[in-house]
Amino acid sequence: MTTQKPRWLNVKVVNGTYRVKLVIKDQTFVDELKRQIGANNRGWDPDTRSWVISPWALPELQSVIRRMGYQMPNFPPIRPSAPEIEEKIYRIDYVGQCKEREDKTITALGLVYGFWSVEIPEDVLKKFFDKGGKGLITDTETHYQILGLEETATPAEIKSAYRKYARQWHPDTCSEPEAPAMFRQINESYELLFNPVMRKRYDFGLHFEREAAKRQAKIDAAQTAAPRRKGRGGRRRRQFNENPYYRCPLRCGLVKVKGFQTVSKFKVTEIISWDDVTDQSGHVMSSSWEIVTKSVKIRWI
Amino acid sequence: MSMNQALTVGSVQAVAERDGVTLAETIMGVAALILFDNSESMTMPDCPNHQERFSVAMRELRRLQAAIEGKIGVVQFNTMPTFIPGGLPDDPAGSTDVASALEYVQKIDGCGIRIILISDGEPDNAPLAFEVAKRFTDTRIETVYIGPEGGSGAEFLRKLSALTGGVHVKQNVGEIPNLAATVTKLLSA
Repeated sequence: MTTQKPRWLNVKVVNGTYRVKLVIKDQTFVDELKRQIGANNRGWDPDTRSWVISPWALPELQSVIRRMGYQMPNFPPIRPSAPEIEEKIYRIDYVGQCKEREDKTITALGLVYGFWSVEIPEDVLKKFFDKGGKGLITDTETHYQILGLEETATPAEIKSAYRKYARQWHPDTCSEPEAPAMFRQINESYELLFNPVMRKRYDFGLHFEREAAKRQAKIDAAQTAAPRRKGRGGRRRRQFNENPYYRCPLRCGLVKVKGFQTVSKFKVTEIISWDDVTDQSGHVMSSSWEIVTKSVKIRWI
Repeated sequence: MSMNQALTVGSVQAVAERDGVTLAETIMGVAALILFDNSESMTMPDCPNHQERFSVAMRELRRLQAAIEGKIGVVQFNTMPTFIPGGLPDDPAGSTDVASALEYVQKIDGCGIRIILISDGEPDNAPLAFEVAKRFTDTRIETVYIGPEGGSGAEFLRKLSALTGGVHVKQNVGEIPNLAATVTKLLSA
């Protein structure tokens, strides 16, 4: 009769988290760990080649260890503390597409010095970039929103936003497939908003569009049956791929945020500002996803 | 009062849906805003064949929008003004508050969009309507009177358009069936 020798792992406490290091590589254990412990409560530390586990997930961790036949190590007690909101500035080299994560939240990841270490929820991105939105029109995007502007923006602010967005999306520098269409749209919005008469007409159009939406809401509320007509004739929100979630209109920047640190990522709760990253000679950083190499390409313009 | 959500051919809503652009962008392209009186008095059946002024004017409004697609924005007014993206006003009700209607569209002053006010009656507050009209510095308010011969509303509308350098047209009840042609003429003037 052969008895299986119990497998073992090392556990240390570092900065209020458990660092779990497997002595021998075990992909089954890793898969089970990922299945049982949500992404919010676990992370991988490439420097020490160990798993970082939040003390909140200790019961799940112990259960995985038991189930996988490992010898139960001694877990020094850690009192889990509520996350502390802090303000940070990150140089984000690339913001990915919003996606549904394991915990059912919809977020985009930010690449910081080679690691996807910043997580920004979709609603936080929308709140920052969709400044023109008044919450009435849900299926359209205004020219102000395309340039991330308030409807009270001054001509100088319009020009500055245009430069920022055009630099990001110029087809010569951005290799993403939607770049030509985005660039055309940015130009169109700029030309319209920078012309005072056109802008005045557009503002009036927006005002009436909202009036129409209010009237439609009244009609819908008055009808007991399902509303007869739904669409308001609006252009669909910018969407160039199959992913139904929000796409951050800027790819990179020096971003001041509020949020809290989890074991794996900094979770953003609010974006305070989003500025250009410039080098010593005044060139501005622009980044895009290279489909061929499947990596982020940074250019200085 | 029932709200009309029908969509007439050539209305800004119909054009926006057809072209797949936003309503705001379609409204940008209008040549004129029609301020259309849909107060109670518009139900008077004094048009040819005992037709109501309202139903005859509605038919003309429909014809006008179909003829110059996307160029006409319709704002109905009685006690309250309302923008009608589908181009067909609600059933008549209430009084004739011209001052509120002009205030409602005042934002277009200086945009190069013309205002054509079509009404049959006396306003709730004529002095206030004149006050509001004086605030339009870059827009002429054209008026079209649709009512009985010698009706007192015509004089009010004449004064209103004169204040802004606009044209006043009298369209007696028998001539309401020519309303679309009259407005087209005004627009090409």
